[in-house]
Amino acid sequence: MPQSSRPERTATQQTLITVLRVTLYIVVTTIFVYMARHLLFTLNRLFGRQRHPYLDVDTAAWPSVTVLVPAHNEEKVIAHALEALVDVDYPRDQLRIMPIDDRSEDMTAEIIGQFAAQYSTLIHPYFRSEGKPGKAAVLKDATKLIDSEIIVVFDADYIPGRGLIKQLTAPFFDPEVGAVMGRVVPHNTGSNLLTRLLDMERAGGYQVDQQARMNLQLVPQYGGSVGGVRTQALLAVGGWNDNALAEDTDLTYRLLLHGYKTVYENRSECYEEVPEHWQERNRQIMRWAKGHNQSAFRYAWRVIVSPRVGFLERIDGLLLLGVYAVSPLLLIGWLCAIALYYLGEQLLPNTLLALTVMVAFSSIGNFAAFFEIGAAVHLDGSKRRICLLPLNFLNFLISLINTSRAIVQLVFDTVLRQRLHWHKTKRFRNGR
Amino acid sequence: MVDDVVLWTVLLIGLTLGFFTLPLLPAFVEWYRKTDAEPLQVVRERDTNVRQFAQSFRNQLLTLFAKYGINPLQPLDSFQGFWRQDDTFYFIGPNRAPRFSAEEQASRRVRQLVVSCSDLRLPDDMVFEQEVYAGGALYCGQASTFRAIYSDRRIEIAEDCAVARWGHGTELVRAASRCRLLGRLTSDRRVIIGAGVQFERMHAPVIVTGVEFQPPSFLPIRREPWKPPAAGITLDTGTLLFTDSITIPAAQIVRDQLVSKGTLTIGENSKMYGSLKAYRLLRIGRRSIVRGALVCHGKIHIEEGCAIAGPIIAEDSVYISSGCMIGTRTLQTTVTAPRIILSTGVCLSGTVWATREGGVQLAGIASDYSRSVAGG
Repeated sequence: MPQSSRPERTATQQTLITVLRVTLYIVVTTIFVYMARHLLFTLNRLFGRQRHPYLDVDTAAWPSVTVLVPAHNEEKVIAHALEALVDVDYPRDQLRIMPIDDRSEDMTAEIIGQFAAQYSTLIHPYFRSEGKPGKAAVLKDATKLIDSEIIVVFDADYIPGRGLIKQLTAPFFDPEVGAVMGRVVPHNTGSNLLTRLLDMERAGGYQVDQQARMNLQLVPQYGGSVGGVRTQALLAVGGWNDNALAEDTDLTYRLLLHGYKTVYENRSECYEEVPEHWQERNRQIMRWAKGHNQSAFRYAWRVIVSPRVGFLERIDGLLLLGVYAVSPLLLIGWLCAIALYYLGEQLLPNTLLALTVMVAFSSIGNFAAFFEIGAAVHLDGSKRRICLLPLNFLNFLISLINTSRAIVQLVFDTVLRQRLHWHKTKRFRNGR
Repeated sequence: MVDDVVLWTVLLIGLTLGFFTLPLLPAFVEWYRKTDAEPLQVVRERDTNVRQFAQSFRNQLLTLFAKYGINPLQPLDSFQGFWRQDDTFYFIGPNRAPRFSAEEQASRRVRQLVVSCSDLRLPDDMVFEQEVYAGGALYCGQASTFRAIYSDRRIEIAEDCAVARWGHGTELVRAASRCRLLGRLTSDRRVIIGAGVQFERMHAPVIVTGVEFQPPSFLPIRREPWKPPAAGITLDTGTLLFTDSITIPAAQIVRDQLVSKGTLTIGENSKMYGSLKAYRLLRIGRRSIVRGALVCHGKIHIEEGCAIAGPIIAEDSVYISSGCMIGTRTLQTTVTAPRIILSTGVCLSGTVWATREGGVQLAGIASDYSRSVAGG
């Protein structure tokens, strides 16, 4: 719009434009930082030195391990998990499996009871009939009954491989390691478009994002399942936090602030079930977003000031805390850009440059995470599933909206002091 | 006029839709056809079993014996038959010398599986493209190359041989000087490897480098309890973290686990109850005892006559001097690093896994590598 034909603006309009401009620049800068992070991780995974230092430990005096399997109405899946666990390759005198029935209303308790009767020396069930709901509260209560050096946690829908317990335990020979995380692989990929998109998203998150953070000695995240915790470290940082919706993120940061490391083991893979319905997926992502942002509010400042956190860990730790805040930020950025356009603001001097910047920003800024997915699919040796990548835009948009909704809800819940609810993810597998 | 407007409008909408949809066509096709919708293969059976190949081979042999009615206890003439698909095998009767064909002798190359139920002595300078099995002792000729070897008793690998994939000797595997053991080498009892041997992955209750092993002698020495400097950060009860390099003086007793973000040096004759970790270099002084694990982002250097009980994990390299004892027969452990150099006169129990390069060097001869480690 030519400058001469522009009508005079009021002071309010001018202030509004300034605010919108500043907000937009902040958003663009933030997205740029995350874009650089995604690209760095992708390049590291494709061309960098890969770290798997503990993977090759196969003979040792293995520490005592308790495997916790929290289960609430898990009759469809719990038997598969227990069948796999009783078959693992780990010294029997050092292994204890503790399935936890948390007030199930289906046949979960009966199935656990059958396994406990059959493997009485190995399986020590815990039937929880009262107490606070939520996985963290369950783990907190169960931990009181444990005297082993290492705690390994599996969700009830996970099917661990024979060598998985050893692989997850080996990093604890390193005295600095507080937690270990393995890779989660969806097994119901072929069900529908959603499961296929989630399979690619998970691949990007684990195969590239987590492993790159491991390679660069940053902050791999303990994910709550297919992972282990050193009991002494857990107790040193205050145990499980049952006020946290994402107890895994919460624990990752408490360990980090205390000086412990979290290790990611990309080759310690375990099958899980991903949501098959969009409604379930939305609930899951909203729970993650709320929990993660709760941790961000709790720990961001402490990560900045803690003397025990290294410089690069500090940067990565903050960026990791902010990942679920990027979506609403992006949404705000889009709204600012639209508002500025209609207010007659020209952000760039000519249309061609504006278009170029917009296309470039959209492809490598907003959607830089897609590079990770592409690289992950390539590293996994998958072939034609990469064709589905453009459809991930749909998943991206839905997640963007739900993550933003979750943040708004979290703010209201915090202001109104509402109690946060833990929603269990629905299972889709047929039981035995 | 109106028709034109409608036509152009429809065309515009169609073109616009086409413009946006065309790039998505492969996605829609894959969505519909599901050509690559299987879950990523996670091998449940992968249990880090170092003997996996050897066990699998032996199971295949048992099937083969059953198919051809071979009874290892009964005398049987040599014969040939089919094994896997078009692969042939050559069965050597009990206590008979192998008689390879003229073509095989001329080319010095045997393309079939070689099976013997008794002792088997192979000629020098041959290439065996398939596995070799001996129910008795297996004597490999000098400068020969093997795909894989298995003996239900002992394997003697002569000088300058190469084993490409794996080798397993139930009672003993002995590899003479300058052998290249590129895959897995395992025994249920003992492995002995000579100077100049290159290895990748070995596993046995006892692995000795060189001709013999002299167990470390720990003199009755008075050790002082170590007083940690104030700079240490307590991770939890029993673990101390130092942001710089730290040196533990000689003849100390340390009950904590130690982590140094620089170099961690343990003075000689010390006794460490916990695990030790360093970011740059971890050096264990002579005749020291470590009950825990050794972990380093860089290099680990273990001087003469040490005893280490826990796993040794380095992201760069490990050097173990002569007279060291790593693990015990009853408490086996793992040594793993991209590069592992063992001096002659070292005894290990468990697994040694050099992911890039492993080698045995004569004690007292400092290589470029050991000099570089010694220099820090």
